[in-house]
Amino acid sequence: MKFSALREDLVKSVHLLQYSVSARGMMPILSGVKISSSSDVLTMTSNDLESSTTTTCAAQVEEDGVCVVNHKLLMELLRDMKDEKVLLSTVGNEMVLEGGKSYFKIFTLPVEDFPTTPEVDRAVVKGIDAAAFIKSVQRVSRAASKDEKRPTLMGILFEVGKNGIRMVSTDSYRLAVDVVRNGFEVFEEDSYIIPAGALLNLSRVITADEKVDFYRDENRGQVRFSAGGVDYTIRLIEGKFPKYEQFLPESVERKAVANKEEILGAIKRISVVNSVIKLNMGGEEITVVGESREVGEGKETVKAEYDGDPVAIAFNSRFLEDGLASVDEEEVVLGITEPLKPGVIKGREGEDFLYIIMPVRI
Amino acid sequence: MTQYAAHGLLRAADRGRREEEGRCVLHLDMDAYFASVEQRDVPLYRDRPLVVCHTSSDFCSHGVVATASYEARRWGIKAGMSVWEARSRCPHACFVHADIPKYLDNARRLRHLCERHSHRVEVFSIDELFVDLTPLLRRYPPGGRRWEEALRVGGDLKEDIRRELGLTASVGIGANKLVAKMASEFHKPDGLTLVLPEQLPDILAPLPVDRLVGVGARMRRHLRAMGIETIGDLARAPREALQWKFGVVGSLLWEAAHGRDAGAVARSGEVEGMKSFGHSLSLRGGTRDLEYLENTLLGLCDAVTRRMRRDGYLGRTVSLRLRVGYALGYARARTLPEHTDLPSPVYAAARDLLRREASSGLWTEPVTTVGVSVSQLRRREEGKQVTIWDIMDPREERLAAALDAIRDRYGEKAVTRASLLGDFALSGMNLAR
Repeated sequence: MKFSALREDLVKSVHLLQYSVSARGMMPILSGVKISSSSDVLTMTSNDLESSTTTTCAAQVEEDGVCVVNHKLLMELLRDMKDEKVLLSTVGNEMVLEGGKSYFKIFTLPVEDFPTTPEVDRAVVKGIDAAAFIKSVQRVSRAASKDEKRPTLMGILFEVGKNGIRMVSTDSYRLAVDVVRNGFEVFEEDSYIIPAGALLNLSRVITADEKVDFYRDENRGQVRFSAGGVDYTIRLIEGKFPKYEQFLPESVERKAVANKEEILGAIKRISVVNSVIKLNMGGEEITVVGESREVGEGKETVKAEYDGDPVAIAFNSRFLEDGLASVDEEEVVLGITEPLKPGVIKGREGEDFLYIIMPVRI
Repeated sequence: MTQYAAHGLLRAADRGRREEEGRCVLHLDMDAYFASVEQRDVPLYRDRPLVVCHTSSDFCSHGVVATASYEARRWGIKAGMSVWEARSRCPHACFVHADIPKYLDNARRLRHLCERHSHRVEVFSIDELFVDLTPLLRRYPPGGRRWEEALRVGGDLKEDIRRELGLTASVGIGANKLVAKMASEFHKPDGLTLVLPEQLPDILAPLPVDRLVGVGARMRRHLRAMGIETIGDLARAPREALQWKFGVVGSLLWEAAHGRDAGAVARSGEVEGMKSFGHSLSLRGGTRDLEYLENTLLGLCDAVTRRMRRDGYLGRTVSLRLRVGYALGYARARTLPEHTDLPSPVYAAARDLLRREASSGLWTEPVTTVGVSVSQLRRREEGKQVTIWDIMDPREERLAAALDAIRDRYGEKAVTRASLLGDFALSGMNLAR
């Protein structure tokens, strides 16, 4: 293998591969990146068995070939070199990296050990607007669980339907729902549980002005997202997602509309006293109350439009903050039915994003 | 039953040494408790010598006497005596098995009854408790009027116990736990005794030293060697000498001889630093039957979570304790995703641990003890995070609340799981603590 390429192009491509590299695993091969060169195109792949990223890079190929080198090493070398153009070649089981003045010889990893990239090529959706997609993923992934004992909750339910793609996540304390609509072509309707961490990584790999295509494999074990020359394949989570539909409120009895920054600030300050905070709603305001046996107490009122009887409800402040921060409008709606029933957070304009939060029973 | 947790009481005396002026403590001691409960429940036993036995034999042929009714005491039968000896002293007495769960249940009702008068009630043993009347009597000036009022409360309490539980109790009132406890012993049964601080030296001085809490046969021997026979002798002895001879206990004894005890009435269930709730059961002869062990575990989990709910705690870490053969026991633990006080998550975790242990191949001998405890506690009033599962299926929570209500009203044995029916050890697990 022998090729030369612009260092900047290489850095960009190698950088994209980072989310499918398993640096500290039992298998050293998974810390590598596979580079294959064939007629003016470099294909680079990383694979940590949970996900796989493939990207391409333009190069002047003199000799076709394949090699696997440690991702971190390659990344650091390429990033810190000063040369505009680099020359890469393999000699035996070593890779030679040459700049204008610098010269490196790096041991490679055995190519035959590198896992094969699964074939995932049944189109499900094509042409999703990346900006909307990224926003939804970032909002919804916050509510996903980090508890490995409940693997299904570590995923985002990805429901492809006629009217859009609905994403749902829950860690059993809160539940976030968002819908991506319009502008894409749906080939088949189905639902998948995709690891939230992987989707979040995907949202970092793709850029907002691209279009995202979504594929699945034959056994519905893996899915692939493709955008702007990057293929990101993710192993799905097996299992059953909780029946979330019953949490979607048909109507909210008591509704308070408040300025997002004001209420968020109040909650942040009161949460210093106790992580469990109480919201007293009534009389055109919301009073945020925190009490703790050890610390003391705190209280802050926030102006709100409120049209119901006075009600008090307690929440974990962290979940409340996450939910409020996910709304990207100036005014948020806080809906409450009963002190022991879930509360609802959404934007005033009533878009698709919903954040349902389980109360704390006091 | 009247064995003292002597150490606790004495050490308590050392604590604080705060002003005792104006304190008013009531000690309540049930008269011939086990026997009285049996006599109340079974008319046949009334007015007859009745001996309640701790025994494993079906015919009460051996074992020891747990309680003798006052009729039986006339024949010289005392608690702790062997059943065989009791039989030879009074062959025509009735001998019955002790029904501990029943007595515990009664004790719980007794505690609730006392809590009506003061929220500071300390359960001292199954048939004894302390009630701190100080907050209740604060509005009366210290001195005569306050003591009068204390006597009235004591009388009311006795009357309540007679009316609602059908039992009699001996009540002692004093300026601290030590004095109250000694006072209740002066008139038995059915006594109501007040020992005023000014009477204290005259009353205490002539009593033999072993009437003091914490002085047993061995301590009495040591004291006798020092020439101390009565509490008065003890009070007159130089404190330093006692301290030199007995260490910390010596000076506590000296304090006690002067009728001083700074120990506060510690509300039960509010023991500082409550760390875990647990129950365990010894299996006679051991068992290898996994199904039986799981069932036992279910009963234990029910009992543990019942106590947690009653005392208002949520827990997160479930530990399974096992003893295989007669080797040392060991424990395995698992942490739940959320805090809980419901039996099914606790049981599910404990059962998984048990199954894993059972399949580990380490059980070369039968399992002789199985226990479960829940730790990493949090007070319920700190809030319980509701989860989507609670809302999807709130049935268990409702069921637990309904069962609690039934048990609160009709006793622990009123309702039980079908799979636990007939299992004596698990029915109404000693919950009255």
